[in-house]
Amino acid sequence: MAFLKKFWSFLKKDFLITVSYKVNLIIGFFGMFIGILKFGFMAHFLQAGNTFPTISKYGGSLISYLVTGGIFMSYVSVAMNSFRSTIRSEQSMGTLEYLLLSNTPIHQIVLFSGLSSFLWTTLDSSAIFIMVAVLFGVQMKVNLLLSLLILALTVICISGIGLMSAGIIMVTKKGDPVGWIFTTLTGLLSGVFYPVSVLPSYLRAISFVLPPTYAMHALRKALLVGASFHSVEKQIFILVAMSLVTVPTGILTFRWGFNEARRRGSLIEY
Amino acid sequence: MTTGRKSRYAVEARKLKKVFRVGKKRIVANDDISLHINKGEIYSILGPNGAGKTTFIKIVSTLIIPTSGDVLVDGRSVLKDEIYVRSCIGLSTGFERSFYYRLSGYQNLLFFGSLYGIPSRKLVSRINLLLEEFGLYQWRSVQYMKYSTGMKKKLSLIRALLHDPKVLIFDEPMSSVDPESTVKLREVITDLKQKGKTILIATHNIREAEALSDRIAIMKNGRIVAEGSPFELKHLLKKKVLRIMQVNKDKLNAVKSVLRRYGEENFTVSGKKFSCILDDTELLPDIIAALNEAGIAPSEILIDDPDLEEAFVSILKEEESGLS
Repeated sequence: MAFLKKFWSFLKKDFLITVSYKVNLIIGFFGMFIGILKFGFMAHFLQAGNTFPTISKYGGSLISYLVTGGIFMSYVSVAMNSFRSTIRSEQSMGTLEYLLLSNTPIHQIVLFSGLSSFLWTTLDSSAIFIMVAVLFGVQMKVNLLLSLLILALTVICISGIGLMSAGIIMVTKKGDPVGWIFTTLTGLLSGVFYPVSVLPSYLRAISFVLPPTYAMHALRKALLVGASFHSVEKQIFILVAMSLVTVPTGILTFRWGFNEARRRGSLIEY
Repeated sequence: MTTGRKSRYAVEARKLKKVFRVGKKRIVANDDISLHINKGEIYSILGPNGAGKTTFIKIVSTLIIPTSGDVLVDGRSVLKDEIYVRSCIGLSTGFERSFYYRLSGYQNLLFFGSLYGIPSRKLVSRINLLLEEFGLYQWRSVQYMKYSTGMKKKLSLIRALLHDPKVLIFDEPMSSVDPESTVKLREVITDLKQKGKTILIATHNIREAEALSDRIAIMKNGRIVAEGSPFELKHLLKKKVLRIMQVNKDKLNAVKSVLRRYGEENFTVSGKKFSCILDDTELLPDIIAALNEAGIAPSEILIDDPDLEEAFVSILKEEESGLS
């Protein structure tokens, strides 16, 4: 109960701050919308008179394929950056030490702020996805429950890596190799904008150790062809297994970074 | 709230040491500090900028991990029982950027208060009560960024008090505050002591420390170089101060040269007021005679005990010469 109350307080605080920057809110939403729109037009242009057998398992529509990829990528970015940017933002506002003194453990502070970002992104992404889908006549057959389950697992799994990134940034202050490598490799190798099958074999091998590769595949199937749990269970189990590695490693790295910053007396330095 | 182990002291530092490494440089911010703060006492750490005061209070607040030694708050270690320690303390720093600028004062307090797990109704009534007490109630709906410096300080004090902690820690509470607000803040701190709170203040403001504190520790280069009540500190020096209340500019150099002749160099000039802390009081009759010869009548000379500011400066100078 106390946990939920605290989460609610973070949500409310973030909502009040976000809506206080009205212009930024509108620009942010339309920026994301236009970003996805570009994929829609590009796909529309490429789709005309062509077929794409490599994406036939997702229904064969390039528009659907790219739009889901674009939305997914923005989700991955939030998962990766929300923890790091929470720390950064609380440091720059000078509130981090006071949050800690409120007897709220640091991992809860980061988790609540991160979840609050996810909620915003989910709302944004859903609205944009529906708008773009209607605009381009994206063919969808959604298994909603399965989509939500995959999305939740993706968030959990990638959050572990996000926590690692936040732990490192607490010590290095700027420059985080984990976040950079992971986001770059996801866009390049996880089948977000083109199928993994087009990659050379040595790059495909790397794509198989990236959680977004499995998440992207399963999510597309659940969103576009209404796949059943059974048909993506392998990907789901892999995501669970990867989460069992990334989340504890993320927590440990974050705890190390936090205590190291306390030892160095650099908790509020950024 | 769980209670602390039976402890005579509200805060107790034991051989506390904090060393920061900046590149290859080793900076000793706190060096072998052992002190205790009694329950219900106002205790100030007085020292120049960079003395290590903020490091000390951040260690007490669990925000910095010491290199060695420990601090007990209400009998519990900041290293082993940090959660308990945090529930015992309320911190207010002079740092203005410690609230969400876009939220109102009330929204900020509601947010921070909710993190302490205070039931909603109780929290709302406590916030309203404190806002009233501190004269901020009418400003509660105004965004924090529009508050004056004095109002920001008050809001910071209110936040520190939300969970009714046993120990309050204030870092430079009066810095950048106008005289009216200073008087009000002093009243508030004194009132908190009367309510049984233990108060630890880190300051470089001697008047503030003297006006508020039961005991003062003077800190220099990370070490406590003197400790006692303001009265004890003033008499710790066992020195006398020679004061001349009205010294004209043309006579000033003559006065200084007389004192220098007797090896006395520890003087300050404020307007026409001249003061010199005498290292050797036995030379006093000779100095007075020499000043007389220089045109200063004996009636213009006052031999006095040092005030806290003079004691502070002198203690720091002695510490410096002892180190060199």
